[in-house]
Amino acid sequence: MTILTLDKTWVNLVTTGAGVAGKAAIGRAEDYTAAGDVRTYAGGRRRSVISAGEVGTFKWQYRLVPRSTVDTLHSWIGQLVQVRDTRGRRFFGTFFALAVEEVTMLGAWCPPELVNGAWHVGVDLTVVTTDEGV
Amino acid sequence: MQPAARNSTTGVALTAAQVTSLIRDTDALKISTGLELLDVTLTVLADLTDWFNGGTVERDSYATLHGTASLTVSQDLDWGTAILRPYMVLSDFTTSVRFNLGAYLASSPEAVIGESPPTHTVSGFDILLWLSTPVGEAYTVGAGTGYLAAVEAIMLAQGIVAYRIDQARWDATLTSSRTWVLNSQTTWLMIINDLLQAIGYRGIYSDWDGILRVEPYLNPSDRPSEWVYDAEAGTSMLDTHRVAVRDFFNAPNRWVFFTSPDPAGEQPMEGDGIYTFVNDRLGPTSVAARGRTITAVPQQVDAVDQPALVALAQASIDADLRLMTTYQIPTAPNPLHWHFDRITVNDSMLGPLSDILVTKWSLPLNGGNMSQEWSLLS
Repeated sequence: MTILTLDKTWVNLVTTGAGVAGKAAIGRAEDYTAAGDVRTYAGGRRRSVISAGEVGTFKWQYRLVPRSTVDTLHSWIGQLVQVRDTRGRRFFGTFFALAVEEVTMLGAWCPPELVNGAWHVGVDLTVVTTDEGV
Repeated sequence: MQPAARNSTTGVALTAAQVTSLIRDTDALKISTGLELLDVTLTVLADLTDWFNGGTVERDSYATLHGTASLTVSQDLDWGTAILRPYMVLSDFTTSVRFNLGAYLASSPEAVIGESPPTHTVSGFDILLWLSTPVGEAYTVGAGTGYLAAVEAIMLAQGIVAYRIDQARWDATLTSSRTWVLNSQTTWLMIINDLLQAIGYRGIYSDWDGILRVEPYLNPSDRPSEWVYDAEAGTSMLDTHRVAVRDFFNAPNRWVFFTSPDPAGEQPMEGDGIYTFVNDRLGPTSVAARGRTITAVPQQVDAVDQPALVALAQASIDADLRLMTTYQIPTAPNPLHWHFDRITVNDSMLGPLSDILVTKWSLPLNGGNMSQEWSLLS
């Protein structure tokens, strides 16, 4: 039996398939919210009314990625991407902001791709409904 | 109201009681909406639901164009000809039921420049708008022509093909020709409604599917109740904030209607060309309640015979009586509402009222409470 171990979080641009990957900090937050409320009607009746359609978000932070990853993600703001994390979970969505933070304390031990610097990048993905072509 | 019985979205036949229960009794209700693009035959050309971002559907049964809609669509359409039909789907998370909410001619799209994809907020008008254009010339319907045939001929000439005509008065014909002179106000809609009024029919209206309907006028009090709103713990759909308005200004309690007299012939008389109605005891504007008789301005009308005169007079009188007491009531979403709905209300906080005519409503498509305007029938 072949076991596939995912140790990175992948982002692929849906229109081209181009991708970036990196290790993500632990504590990736996943939230779902629906527009609904419990209303009070005459006679004291309480009733839940919900509108179809949830707003889902998936948040993670890339740790110690090269500048090229930051720039690629920057160029994808607002575009449809597919995200797959280390648990194999997959999300389609878009992000509208990146929280980029330069890491300055790397020494000579850093891997080759980070000799020109390293960054942490926080991404808030808003999940959208997508039909995949087959 | 729309007939309640229909199939679920999965094709299961549901009774009126089941659909009513879904709308009224479900304690956790899920609401979604959709939008279709139609052609003039009301055939669906495309489903725009994936580009539809909601809006509002409104109906004012006393307005010239009864229905209006505000719809947000992220899609470029042929705005000059587009006909849009929004719909609402209610679900109890097990059974889902769809309700069409009328067909609207897209007009005045408002686009937000710079957005991608472009989002249009579209004002949609009742498909009656098609008929609400000036005639632009004198128009004559000849003697011997059937009233309903004349109405149908106008609709066909104007390109309307989706209509339903109740033929109860198919035999009523014009005894003399009638002409609408060239002026700036006359529209095809006015001519149709003049013809219908003359045979005791209600004004033409479009239904939930977008089909134009021509039907005899029935006194709302004589129609069966179509819905019951109450304030019970398990079934209440009435908001806690409800407003009552009573308007006594110039409220008449005596009406006189007469047909157009032939200058060379016999003059109309009561029972033969004249119809007088006095509200002696009904409601707070009656002669008994006000202590005096207040006569409305006598109205000259065109009616084919005395029963038609009485029918159209009664429609006007009913309207005058109803306008005296109105209620502005927010309720839970009820997409069955349509045109001049006759309902029953059992709410001790609103007083001892039971028979109500819904004259106006507004239904947000995002699942928010709808607002309704009601007139007291009795």
